[in-house]
Amino acid sequence: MRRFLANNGLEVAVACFCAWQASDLLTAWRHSPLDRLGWLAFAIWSAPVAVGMSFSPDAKSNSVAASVIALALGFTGRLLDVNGLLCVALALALSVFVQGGPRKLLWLAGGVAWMPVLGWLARDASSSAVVCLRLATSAAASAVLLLPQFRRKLA
Amino acid sequence: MKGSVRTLLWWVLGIIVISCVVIEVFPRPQVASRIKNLPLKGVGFQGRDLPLNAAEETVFRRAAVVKRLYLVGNERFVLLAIDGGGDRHAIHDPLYCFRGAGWAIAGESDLNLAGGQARVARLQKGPKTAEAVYWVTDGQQRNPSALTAWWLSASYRLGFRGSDRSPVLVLLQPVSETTVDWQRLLDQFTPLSTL
Repeated sequence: MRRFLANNGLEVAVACFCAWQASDLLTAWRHSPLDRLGWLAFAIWSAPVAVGMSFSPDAKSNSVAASVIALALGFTGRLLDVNGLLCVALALALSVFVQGGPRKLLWLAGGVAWMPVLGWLARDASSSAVVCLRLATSAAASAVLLLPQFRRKLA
Repeated sequence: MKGSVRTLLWWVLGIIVISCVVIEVFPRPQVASRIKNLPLKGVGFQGRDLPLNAAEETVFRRAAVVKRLYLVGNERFVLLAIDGGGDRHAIHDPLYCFRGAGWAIAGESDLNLAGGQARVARLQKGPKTAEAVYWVTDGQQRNPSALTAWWLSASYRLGFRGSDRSPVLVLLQPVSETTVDWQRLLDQFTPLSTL
């Protein structure tokens, strides 16, 4: 972990900043029926980040651009008080810690699974259907990144 | 080159963090919310304050809120007014909350009121039916759309609006499953136009 921090201090700091700005997510996950279990969707979706940190502590992020965009979105979201921007900023800030080429874009798009915007988009569905959609989307997004990695490790 | 970019980014991050701390610690000074001036009693109406439930206490912890039971003529209804000046997220599309609570939107229509429009939502959950009327206002214009709510909040937060023009969500609901003649109520209950 220490090695990882030394290699990616700036990216970690940007991710912490974005997490701080998006901390209202906790209230949404706790109290909004359509955002129920959003925290679990987030945990599943961010599994590739944790795996990347544990398996590749020497990996150096080369996505300065993603951190810059995340920082800009996070600050704009704070100024305009738009939760959607803050969530996208957090997803982008975390994306710099995973590898995966084009598959990474699919994973990033799957980040919608833990965002309140999914509840808003699926507002006509029942809250249990939204929960299922959240968990299925986050699991699929994580699988897109993790399965090839595990297959490679097993081979 | 890359090292200097990273150093620059550290500086930018530091400035942004300090700015956010300043915004957090020294929010825009708030005058007393205008929703607190809504009278409890007057000619043809009387009301009493209702306590917020636990979830409302948490969600509206940074916002000024008035929750009252009013009797206007023979019509009884609950009024919830939320001032988003201190916390924009306290104000959001009420239909989102109703859907989240298991209600289906059976129909919607608009009502005219001074300075704009209100929306009437007819709700259904199994055999139960309910109604809600809502709009967002900055004290001058009134509109039920979520986009208007966002724009009123953003422009207020960025200082384009006076401190007495914070966005307020007004939500009216009849008591239990009774119905209310909303247009007549809005015409009669003139204190609502002060919000």
